[in-house]
Amino acid sequence: MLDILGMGTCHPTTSIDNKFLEALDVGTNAQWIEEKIGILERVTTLTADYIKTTRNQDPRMAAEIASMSATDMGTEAAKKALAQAGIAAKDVGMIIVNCCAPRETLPGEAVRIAERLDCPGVAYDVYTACPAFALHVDFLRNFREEELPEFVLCISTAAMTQHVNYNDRSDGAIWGDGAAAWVMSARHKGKLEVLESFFTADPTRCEAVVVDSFGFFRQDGRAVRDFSVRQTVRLVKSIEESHAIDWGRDVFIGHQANRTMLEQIVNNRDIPASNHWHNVTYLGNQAGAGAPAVLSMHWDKIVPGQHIVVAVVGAGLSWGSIVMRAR
Amino acid sequence: MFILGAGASYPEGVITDSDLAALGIPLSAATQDALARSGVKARRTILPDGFIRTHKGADVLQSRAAATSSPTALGLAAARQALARAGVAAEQVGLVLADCATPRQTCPSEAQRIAGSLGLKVPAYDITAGIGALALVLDVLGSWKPERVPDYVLCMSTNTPTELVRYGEDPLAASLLGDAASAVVVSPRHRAGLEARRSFLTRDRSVRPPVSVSRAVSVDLSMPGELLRNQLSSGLLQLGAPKAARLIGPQLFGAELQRIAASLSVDPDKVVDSAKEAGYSLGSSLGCALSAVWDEVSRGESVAILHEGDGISAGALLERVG
Repeated sequence: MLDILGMGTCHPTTSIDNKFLEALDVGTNAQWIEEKIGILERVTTLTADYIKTTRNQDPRMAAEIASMSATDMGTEAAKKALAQAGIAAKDVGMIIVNCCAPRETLPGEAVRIAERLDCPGVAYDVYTACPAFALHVDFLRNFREEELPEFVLCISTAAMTQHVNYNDRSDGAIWGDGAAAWVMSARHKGKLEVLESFFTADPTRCEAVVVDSFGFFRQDGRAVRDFSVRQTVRLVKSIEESHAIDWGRDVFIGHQANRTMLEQIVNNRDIPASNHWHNVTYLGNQAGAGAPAVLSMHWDKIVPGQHIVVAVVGAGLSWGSIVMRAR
Repeated sequence: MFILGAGASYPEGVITDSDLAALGIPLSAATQDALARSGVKARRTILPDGFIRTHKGADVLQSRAAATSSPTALGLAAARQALARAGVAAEQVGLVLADCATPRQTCPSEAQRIAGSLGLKVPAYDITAGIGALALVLDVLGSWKPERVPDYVLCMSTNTPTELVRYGEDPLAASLLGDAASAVVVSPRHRAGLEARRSFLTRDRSVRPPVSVSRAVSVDLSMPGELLRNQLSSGLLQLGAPKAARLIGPQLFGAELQRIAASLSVDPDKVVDSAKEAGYSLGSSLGCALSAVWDEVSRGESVAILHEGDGISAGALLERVG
């Protein structure tokens, strides 16, 4: 048994819309962005003025001027998850963190957040970038139940806009920043019971998505998009075949890469719009924080008996899924 | 859980004490005391000959552009040695785990880059807790349901901190740090090599992390000697380590470990020090020490691995079974 007891999110307050990106005059316009990727706004830890004046040409400067770090966002999301679960930080026995763009690599992101929370549990990073939600759940399902502490705090946090080249017409339109956290337990029942999880990778294609430590994000856009759609559809089909999924009742959450990609997937699987939960349209792609943030933001809409199907893909190239049922 | 093979990889470049002296940076008394605790005499580096003298590590991007190798390349070489010693082909590996505090790219993960270089299409991701990589991964894998662990797991730690040292400003980091990678091949069901008999993993909030890495790397060796001794003593007790066991302790404190070994009931000759001639390579160092004695540990002999001091206290007791 492994349950999710509570979730939380944190997003920066600065939002930039497509008109703003059009005004950067980098060969894009609001209509093109909306038609190609379906994102209308994205949130960022940078300031609009910084983006406008520098285009973030030295990403090392981004960390200096950012309103929040990945650690800040992860900590805030964790506090909300703990509050929703009704758990104190001192009761958390393990923290695992996925951070796509850490400012520091030692100590690890998990140790930094644990210190801020004053949490005494073991803390380490478990990292794969975008499919972190599936990785973390699948990672915890590896453990013998007696080896897991009563409460485990999982966090995925990313400040990807700090690694965006805003002279690139696509990258600036895709990325947003954010964090999500969730409390899990193998001994205490929560709102969501994990029925199944899966995570794997094809590292021979890992160069398709890259973030330089002190530089920019870059990707082979077309290859990644084809992979993402095809692999997500496969994951969902496989889950449909092994579980009694009813898209009239159950919910799909995909990797929040972009809206048009998600629409291709839900159209393929005949998933009605009402049961496709997403947040990419107004927050942008929050990397590994996107999918768990969606679930957290819809927490109060979950109804008993409902299956939540999460299928996520990303850098690595890696992919994974989770099937949960609401208690 | 069985460690079937261990490997290590070091770059060819060496930073000698003379190289550092030529930089003309004065060593404070506190720095000299810290260096005496570590005992590092030489450091391996991926930076080319003469680069440090010219650039003094002022810009990490310059260092990376000039470097003769990378964390991924070192990790790959260590992985190949571990696989060879284990007698396991890369295609047999079902899971790849890595640790890297000095990645060239934060995405994809280091595990994915190395697994990709090996041509593997298997789950691969990073598990990082700071500088105790080997101790962490042994405890994690030992806590898993056996049926959830593939036949062969490849675990690596690779670090190139010399790219991030400000040689013109930080004589302590300059004197202590070196580049290296280490790897182990682990199996839950193939009885050979070293068996992990016991392990532990707890949070340790008693000292500040001794190493921090961001755009630069810095080292703090202020951990009191008495605290280090007490924690090691406690760790050995927790593991139930026999007195004759080899000790792979925190590699940042190699010289001090030699000095306090007797008070821990450990034969000083059994203390393994991977940093003395290669520099301290963060999370890679425990695995480098294990790799160094891989062929020397005889059947029935024990090896105690203990890690302290960066937020994690971890240990594992290994015994040669094949």
